[in-house]
Amino acid sequence: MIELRGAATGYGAIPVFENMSFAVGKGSAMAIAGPNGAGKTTLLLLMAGMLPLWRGAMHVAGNDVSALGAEERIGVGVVLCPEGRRIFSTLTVEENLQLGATTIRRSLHRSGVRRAINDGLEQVYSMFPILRERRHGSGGALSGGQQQMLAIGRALMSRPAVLLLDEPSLGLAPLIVDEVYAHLEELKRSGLTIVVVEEAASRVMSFADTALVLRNGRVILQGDAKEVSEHLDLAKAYVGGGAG
Amino acid sequence: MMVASLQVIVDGLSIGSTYALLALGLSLVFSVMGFVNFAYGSLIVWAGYAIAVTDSVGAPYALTILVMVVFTVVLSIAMGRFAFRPFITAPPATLLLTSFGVALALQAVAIFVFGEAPRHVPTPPVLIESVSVGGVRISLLQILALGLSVIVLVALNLLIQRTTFGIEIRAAAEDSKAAQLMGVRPPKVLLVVFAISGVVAAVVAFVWFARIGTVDPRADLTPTLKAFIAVVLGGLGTIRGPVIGGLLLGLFESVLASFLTTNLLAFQSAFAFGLVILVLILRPQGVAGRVVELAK
Ligand SMILES: Nc1ncnc2c1ncn2[C@@H]1O[C@H](COP(=O)(O)OP(=O)(O)OP(=O)(O)O)[C@@H](O)[C@H]1O
Ligand SMILES: [Mg+2]
Repeated sequence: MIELRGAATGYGAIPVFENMSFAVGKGSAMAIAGPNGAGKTTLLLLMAGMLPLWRGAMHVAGNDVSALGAEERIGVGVVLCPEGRRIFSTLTVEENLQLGATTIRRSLHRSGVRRAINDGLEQVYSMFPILRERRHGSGGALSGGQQQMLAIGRALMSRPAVLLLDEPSLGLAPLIVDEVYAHLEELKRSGLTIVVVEEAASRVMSFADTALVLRNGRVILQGDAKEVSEHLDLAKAYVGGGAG
Repeated sequence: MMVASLQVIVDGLSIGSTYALLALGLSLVFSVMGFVNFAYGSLIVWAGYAIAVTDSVGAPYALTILVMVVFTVVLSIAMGRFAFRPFITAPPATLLLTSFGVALALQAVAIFVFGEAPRHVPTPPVLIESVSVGGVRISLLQILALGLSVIVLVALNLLIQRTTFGIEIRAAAEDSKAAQLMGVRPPKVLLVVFAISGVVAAVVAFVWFARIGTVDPRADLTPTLKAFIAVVLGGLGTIRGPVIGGLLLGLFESVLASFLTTNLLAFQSAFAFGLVILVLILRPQGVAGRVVELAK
């Protein structure tokens, strides 16, 4: 569904990674783990079209999307829930969701837009009933967990095929993390392709099908999530630290 | 006494409502781009020249105003497109400096084209003749100034609070990168914001020149300063702040004008700046805004 081949990018003239390749099949989930500064966020920003591809290519559903910018990436179905959620506190909960439908509003004909957005809102509200309750309140007034639900809901409003999540469990209580992942399971079952970045590998590995471990912009482990996870545990056991 | 203070309030509110619009135009660009656009007053000056030039070829007053509005909006969009959009990802301090450059360049061009001498900007007498309402003198222009300000404010508020484009503007103002991740096009938002601020500048210019009757190349300083003082008084980053600041400044000036003797009146601006310094010391976020810097 989404594939990177020999991808390179960075900031200014400084590369973060030089040669990144992987593929994620439709309806499956890939975990990306690694310590601080490994390049996880950079990788997601690259996939979301916020950073230019220096070399290599990115394909979505077989189409080369390498040259597309952020807005057009959403158009081809790739959307990012950014690190720190970045909920707009000057917007209400519902306006945050409306904003998620910005590309839908542009791509559809007038009459279709209202229906599409109402359907989208309905879908998000039935998945996250708390958002319906709080829909007229400020996005900034939600708890961390609710903000994460809103960030996911907002992303879903663009009707994505591929959902990218940057540290969705950051700062959340374990129970809430489980709730977030339960929703991600549900989305995956419905056919969504998901890429999740987490610094702490444990929770995401049991959710993902495949996994990638980064360190300093290099892939140090790649493959089946279960195997990668076992490798990480082993490494931890021996070195008392490791990449997870 | 009653009538005299009513007169001060009427005069203050009418000029204050114009300051409010000026401040709002400045604040709008600030919210989205994060810098105070010092070239804002240049729009007003060029709007004045648009009226003067159209008038000099014999066009009727209504047409001069129409030409001025179109010209001002186009100039504002051009300013956003060519002076600021290329630096959209640069730090706001860069944009602040760019805006000084734009103001100087527009002034130089005005001097080159029109010369230093002030030019006459026509005003139909009916606009400035005052009638007495219960002893309070009020002109059609004052009523128009207030009315237009209310209309612009209500329209702007509806646009920003009630439309999906308003959601995009507010999102881009709060967090441009995150807005982009949601499909918002910041360059487009920039142009629309400059267009809106151009409309606001045109409305201000109409009232402004009808009142003072002349334009010269250095006349950009006064509106820029008034807007600046008003946003400092009221606070940036909201719609309410600049409006309150503008009205306060208008009332303050009007009160001063009624108290000060003629030879002290020359120092009116000095008093206004004194007020600004006082507000900055006592309440740096303004009466109704948040703490901000010239370039955030
Ligand atoms: N805006 C930026 N400009 C320059 N360098 C950056 C920028 N953002 C990140 N970097 C650098 O790129 C490298 C990768 O950073 P990145 O944010 O992708 O790491 P990460 O794996 O997401 O880390 P974390 O777990 O802290 O989120 C780091 O060396 C970082 O210093
Ligand atoms: Mg990161």
